[in-house]
Amino acid sequence: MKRHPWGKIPVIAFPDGFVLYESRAICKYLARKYSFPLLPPDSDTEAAALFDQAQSAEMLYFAEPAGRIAFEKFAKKFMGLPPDDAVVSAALRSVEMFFDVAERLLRQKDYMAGKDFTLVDIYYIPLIQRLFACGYGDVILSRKAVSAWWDRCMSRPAVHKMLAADKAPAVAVHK
Amino acid sequence: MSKLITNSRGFVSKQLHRSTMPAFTLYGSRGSTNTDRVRLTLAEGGFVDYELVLLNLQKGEQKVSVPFLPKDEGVYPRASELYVADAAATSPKKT
Repeated sequence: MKRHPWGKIPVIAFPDGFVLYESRAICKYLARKYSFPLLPPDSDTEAAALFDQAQSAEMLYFAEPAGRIAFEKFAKKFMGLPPDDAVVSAALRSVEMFFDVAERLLRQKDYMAGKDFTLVDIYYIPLIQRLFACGYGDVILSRKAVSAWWDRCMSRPAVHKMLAADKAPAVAVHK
Repeated sequence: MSKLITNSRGFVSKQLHRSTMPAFTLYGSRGSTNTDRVRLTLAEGGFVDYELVLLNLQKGEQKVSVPFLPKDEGVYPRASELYVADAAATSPKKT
């Protein structure tokens, strides 16, 4: 076995030797280093705490079950394996329960960490897209406030542009 | 524009011929939701001075001879993420 049996991505590496992995840590580091307006100001202790709270909720209550659905329904298809329907339905129940709560919260605020768009909203986007790709877009669309939040995220020019480019066929790097 | 390079070997040869170094290199994989999280952050920040290297997980490029990875950290990506990226790497892209 190699030292890294499974490897790690994503990773960022700087010319001075600084290396960082774990996507959320990378996002936060980049936002701080380059002053992207995607984090609450350090001076606002309460906003920073609410950001951390929203980040934990995303990782523990959303990404975990949503990741299971993505694995069973998306990845396994390409591996030639059937999805484990029991795993999918249990994970789907967790995701539905998560968005039931999110629906109530998003009636009171525009974004996951408060009134502003932050990294936490970005954290949700790739796995929600995968839920849509797996046919579970209704978990978003059937909830009014969640759906409105998703529209706000998707209508951001930078987000829209990147996702549209990724969807475009015949991208040069594809073989 | 950020440069996109599809494997680490290509990255090395390109680097040798660049006159200016990008601020950093992002190593990821096509179809990886975790990689897209970082790409979306950079897109929102309007930051393009970086190199994107897409590793082919199916070939194990992330496991071997990748000098930037810290050794023996004992922390691994979730298996689901690995397989998702793997799956995307093997999916037919031609239209």
